[in-house]
Amino acid sequence: MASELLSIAISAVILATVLVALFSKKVSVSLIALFWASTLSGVVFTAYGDALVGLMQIVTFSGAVSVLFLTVILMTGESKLDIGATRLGIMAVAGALVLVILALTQVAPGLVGLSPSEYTDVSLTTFSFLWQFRPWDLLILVTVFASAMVTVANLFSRET
Amino acid sequence: MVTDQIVFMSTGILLVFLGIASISYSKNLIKTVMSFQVVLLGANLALFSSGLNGSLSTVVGTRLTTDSFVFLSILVGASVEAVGLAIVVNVYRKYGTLNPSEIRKLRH
Amino acid sequence: MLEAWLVWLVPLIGAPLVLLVSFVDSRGSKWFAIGVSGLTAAIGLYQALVFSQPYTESLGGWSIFQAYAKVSGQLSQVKVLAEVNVDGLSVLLAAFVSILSFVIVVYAAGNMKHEKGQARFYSLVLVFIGAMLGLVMAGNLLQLYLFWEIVGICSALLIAFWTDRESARKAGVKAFVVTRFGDIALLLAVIMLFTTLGTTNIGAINSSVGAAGVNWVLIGVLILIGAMGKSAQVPFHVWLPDAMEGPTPVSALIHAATMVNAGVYLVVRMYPIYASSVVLSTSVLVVGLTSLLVGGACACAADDFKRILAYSTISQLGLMFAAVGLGGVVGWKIATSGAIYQLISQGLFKALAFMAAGSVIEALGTRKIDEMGGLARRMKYTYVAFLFAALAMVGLPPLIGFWTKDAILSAAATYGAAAFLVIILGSILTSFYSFRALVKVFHGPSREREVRESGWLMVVPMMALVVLVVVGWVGLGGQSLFAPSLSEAPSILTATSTVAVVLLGFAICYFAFQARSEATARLMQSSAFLKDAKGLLLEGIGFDRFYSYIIRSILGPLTRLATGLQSGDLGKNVALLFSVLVVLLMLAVTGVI
Repeated sequence: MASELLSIAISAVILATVLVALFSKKVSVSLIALFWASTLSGVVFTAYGDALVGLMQIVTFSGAVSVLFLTVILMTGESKLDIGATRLGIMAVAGALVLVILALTQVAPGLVGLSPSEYTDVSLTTFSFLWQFRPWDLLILVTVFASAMVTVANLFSRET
Repeated sequence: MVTDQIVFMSTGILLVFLGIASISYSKNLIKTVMSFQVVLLGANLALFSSGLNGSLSTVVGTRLTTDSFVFLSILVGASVEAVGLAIVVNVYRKYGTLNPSEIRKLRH
Repeated sequence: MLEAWLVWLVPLIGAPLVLLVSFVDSRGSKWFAIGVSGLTAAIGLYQALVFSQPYTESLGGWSIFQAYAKVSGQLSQVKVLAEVNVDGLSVLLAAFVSILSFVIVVYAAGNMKHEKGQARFYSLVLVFIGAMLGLVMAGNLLQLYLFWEIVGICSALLIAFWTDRESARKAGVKAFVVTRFGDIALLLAVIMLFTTLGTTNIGAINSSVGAAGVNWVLIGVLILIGAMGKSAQVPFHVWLPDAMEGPTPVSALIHAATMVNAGVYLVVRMYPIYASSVVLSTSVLVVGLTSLLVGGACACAADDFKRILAYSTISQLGLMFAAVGLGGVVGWKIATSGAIYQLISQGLFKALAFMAAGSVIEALGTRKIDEMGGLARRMKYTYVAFLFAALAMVGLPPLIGFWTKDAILSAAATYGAAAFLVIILGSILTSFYSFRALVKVFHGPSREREVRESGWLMVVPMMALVVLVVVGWVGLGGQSLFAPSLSEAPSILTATSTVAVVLLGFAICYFAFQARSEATARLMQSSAFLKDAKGLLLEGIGFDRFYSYIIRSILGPLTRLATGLQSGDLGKNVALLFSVLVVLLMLAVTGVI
């Protein structure tokens, strides 16, 4: 129970940090948030048994790559950016949809997911390891769909 | 029912597609490379979690193999990011701006 | 035997050689082209003279290309060969096309003397001649379609011969695009025949008309649409008036005498299909009559000399289609032979008219008939040429146009009063616009002082055609091919109506444009109705505007979509990539791919 709570908490913090990194207006804030996300991810790797991978993650991403980012930002000057309100709205709706379906897969898997026995014959052998995740087909598909919606909305937006 | 494997897998998937969407949306090339790093983060998390105990384990899901996959992925990802940042620096030197909408040769 | 192949292979081989010759001597290309087309004419004439028995010949043992077709449900390998079909119709038309092409190439040598790019011109013309002859001699529909396409391309390239003129380029593109619709229909028909019958051999198709399992009505309609596109029938006629942007020999050869006849030839060749269904023959008749009237009406209002002749071509081709369409009533042998006789006579006098027009345009430098006048005294040979062309066009006996018009009129009289009256109306329009052009260009006060007759290279071909127009009926009337249509002597009704129409048209035009020309001009200015009518006819009764509207309304949103997708924006490209990947993944998941 504790490890699940821990994992949920860490994942939530990682998600929040990444959202800050992607949505912030200043690149420097984005950099620091990304640094934190990488470090937390390394912590996750360490906590779940593999110290080597966690160390590797922290050393390369939070270490070398963040310093690289810092160097590049200093070379090119800090630039401001604005993501726009409508796109935020679309992204929020897409994210909410994803969370709803996530919850549904947990609460009532028969409602949204397909029971494992339905996919007995697998036509694609190269991707067969993906199809082991029976109830998660819909999760993957919906996440894919939602982000595709978001990017397609970008395609037809007026701003160039 | 909600194992930590499921939590990490879903976080990883979410991060992957958030990152891809953000690559498309970003108005700053550095932000683009950052979102690429977010994608890598998510992919590594998902790959790592597939080696944990749980219902989402892969066929080749012993801890050793998935951990080495994650290791390799981190290595390659970091190299790709470094090259990407080098390209960004050169683009800035040539065009003077980091906004991808202003760096376009195709006419309207 | 061999000449059936040579007649269309010689020009095709000669075409690139013209380019080689032009490298050696820049003025040699025109003599070489004259030589090659003369050789072709000799072969065509020889073939016509020695023809005795119809036969077909294919390049045996050597398949040009192989195709797989579903023949009666099982896949079998079917060889598509190069085939040559030699019978009365193809031999006659081959002789006609090759001799007329030779005459026009000689004329072109005089008309295009001062142009640049002569090698390109003559090689394209030779390719055209070879393809047209190949079309006429083709033994199967696939080969006919191949040459059909080649002829269309040559036509578009020759229309756009003066590449520095935007109007010429646009006209070439327009010609190609409009005939494309017809070509697609013809290709569909060929594919349907191939997949249901297993063969495209014309003889095999014609003998199996009525076989079950094949949708003959649909095939007939598709072939008719293909013919309409190539022969500029309503509603596909919009390319022919604009095709006058090309040089005059091109207009004479391609758009009066040969290529536009390919549609009529196709319908006549496949006439068993049209004989099998009343719907088909009636639609052919309706198409012909509509084009007869539309072409005639627009020709009455046109101010550009060559446009008058272009609309007149549309109208005469409509008459030919109507002749074919009447076959259901008077018998198909009579109808098709009448149509072919009309085809040959139309080709002769229309080519003659275009040559005279080219000579006038070359001498005066303008194409508008309002700026011409009084050339009868100064360009005597050209005047004689156009006079005979106009008289033949309106059907004055005993010139060549009279017999065919009379045959068609009597067939129409058998069909019904409506068709007869429509053709009479078309004849009135023909008479009106022919004499209007004649009077306005050659009579009346002359505006230019320094006008010389054209050189011998232009005059001699014109005189040759005048001779053919005047006495051609003697030679052609005896042809066994035309005997069915001329089996009856001209009846009193049709003969007198034709002559009356001729005299009526001449009288109207003489009074309107020669004797009381100022009163006519004032009437045109003052009457709003006449001005509106003329304006409507000048822009082709709205067909062009309608088509432009359709194209704009389709292209507009598509352009916006395409420029939105390919904007050069990095984010949008990534989004597009990703969306397509997602779509493919989902298709893979659900098992579609």
